[in-house]
Amino acid sequence: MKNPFGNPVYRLDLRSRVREKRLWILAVFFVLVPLVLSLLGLVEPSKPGRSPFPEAGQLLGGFALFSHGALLVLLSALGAAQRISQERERRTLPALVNSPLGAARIADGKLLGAWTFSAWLACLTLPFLAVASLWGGLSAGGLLCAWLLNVAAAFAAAALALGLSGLFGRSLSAYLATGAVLFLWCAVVPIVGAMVGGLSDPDGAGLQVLATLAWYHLPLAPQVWLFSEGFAGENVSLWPPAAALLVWAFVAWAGRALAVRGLKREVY
Amino acid sequence: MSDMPVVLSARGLRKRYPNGVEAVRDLSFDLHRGEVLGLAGPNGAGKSTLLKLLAGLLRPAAGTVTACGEDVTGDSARAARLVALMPDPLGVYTDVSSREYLEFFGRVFGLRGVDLRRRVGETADTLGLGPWMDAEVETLSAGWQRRLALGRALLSDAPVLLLDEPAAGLDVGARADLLALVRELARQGRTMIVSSHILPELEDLADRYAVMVDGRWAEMARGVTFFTREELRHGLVAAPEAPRSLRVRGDAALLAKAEAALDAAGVPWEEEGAGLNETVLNILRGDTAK
Repeated sequence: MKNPFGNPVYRLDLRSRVREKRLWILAVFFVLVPLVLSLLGLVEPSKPGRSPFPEAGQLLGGFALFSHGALLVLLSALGAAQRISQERERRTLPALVNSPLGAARIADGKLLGAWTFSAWLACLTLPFLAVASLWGGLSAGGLLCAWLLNVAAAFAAAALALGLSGLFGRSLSAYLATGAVLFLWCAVVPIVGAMVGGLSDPDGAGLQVLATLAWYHLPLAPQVWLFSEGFAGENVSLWPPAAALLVWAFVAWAGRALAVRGLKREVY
Repeated sequence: MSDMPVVLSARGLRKRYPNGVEAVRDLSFDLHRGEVLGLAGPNGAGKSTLLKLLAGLLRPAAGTVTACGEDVTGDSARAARLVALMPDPLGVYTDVSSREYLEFFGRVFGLRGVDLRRRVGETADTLGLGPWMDAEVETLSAGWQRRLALGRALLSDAPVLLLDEPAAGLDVGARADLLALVRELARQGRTMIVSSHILPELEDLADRYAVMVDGRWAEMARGVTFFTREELRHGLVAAPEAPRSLRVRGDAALLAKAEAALDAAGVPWEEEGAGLNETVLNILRGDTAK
């Protein structure tokens, strides 16, 4: 088993990203969004005679988790959506493919690069969560679980976008396809689920199946579930996060398989 | 050359693109160790397609490619250790330095640590890239970028090099430098196929020549698709002052027969070095000598 971090494609990807001078704008944007949202939330006066900190902690934790979670999934997908199509566009693919690496190693290097980018973005959330945890209101363990779910959702989105980028020769097409699939996943499927639920009015096991198929796998759904349950440890059902993780693992596997398939296509 | 072992062999190669264009039609040839094959032909003749088929980047509709006895048809990863392609366009990564670019491909070809640094240093010396090793690739001129792309191919240590238009788009000085480098590689015994539109330079470079037209080998003489350098230069017998001219191309035996016949008939004749340029032009005009 070769060390995945020794993959030359991954190392080149890292070097290129580190040299990307405009990435700091993304980082600032990423940090500013929950900061501004949290400050706006804190403008609401706290009740007299009570410490504002638990409420503030809950507010900050919630905003950090969900605004960052949404941004993380979106940016991870966008960051991965051009990784193979750009090689075709810049005509660098013939030289890369005319190498003993093979399609799977190239795809793995690119996937690892995309995931490193997602992990870097996700780490920018950690200071907010640490402050939220210090202020109280939400348990540190619960926040960490929700943060890890954010990261897992972002990894799945990145893998899916990478797979789609393998199918296209133009980055714009890859971006549009990624946007369309994310829309399908995050908007169309839950709406269809709601319609089916409205028509069939399921209960018990039927509702559980419908929720698993239509809602639990949405990128922020298990985090919302945990948050709404107050991160209350043993009282929280773990099925929604477990179902989500299963679906995301499948999405990531399918994305990688698509990327490998794309790299095995002929290079004109 | 024919006494050397065959390192690259193609048999019955055919390639049809999804748009229906048949780019390569039933091509076969052998390339011997240390041989340099000059590949000429008009735009769209199928030269680049042929090179990509040989490097395994394209899958043929029919036929096989064998490198050093191994079937590499349509398998770029397997072909890569045996056949290195310098494509056109180059497609070099522009957001890294020359050193990072060469080190990346060195790692891709399995080099690590001291070996990697040594080989990258040697390649940079061979290519004269030393002063530009820490410059970002996008700041390099086209000539230096071509050298860098050639460096990638050299790092692979593949016994066969395929150079697709190695001097395209270069000014006269850069072209001369790069071709001198390719000549030096040929002198060192590298087996190469060099595709080029710059025919006079190709003429100096190769041991054998082939012209592709419309996906096929064009006949340089009846039944003859490959010319050696000698045949190319001395294969034309012309009688410009005669009322009807006769051109003969072919092997030495055919030429000797033609000379004897002309002498016997008392027809004045002179030997003319046609050169690759005129040969290709004749082929394109449909004026292939018979």
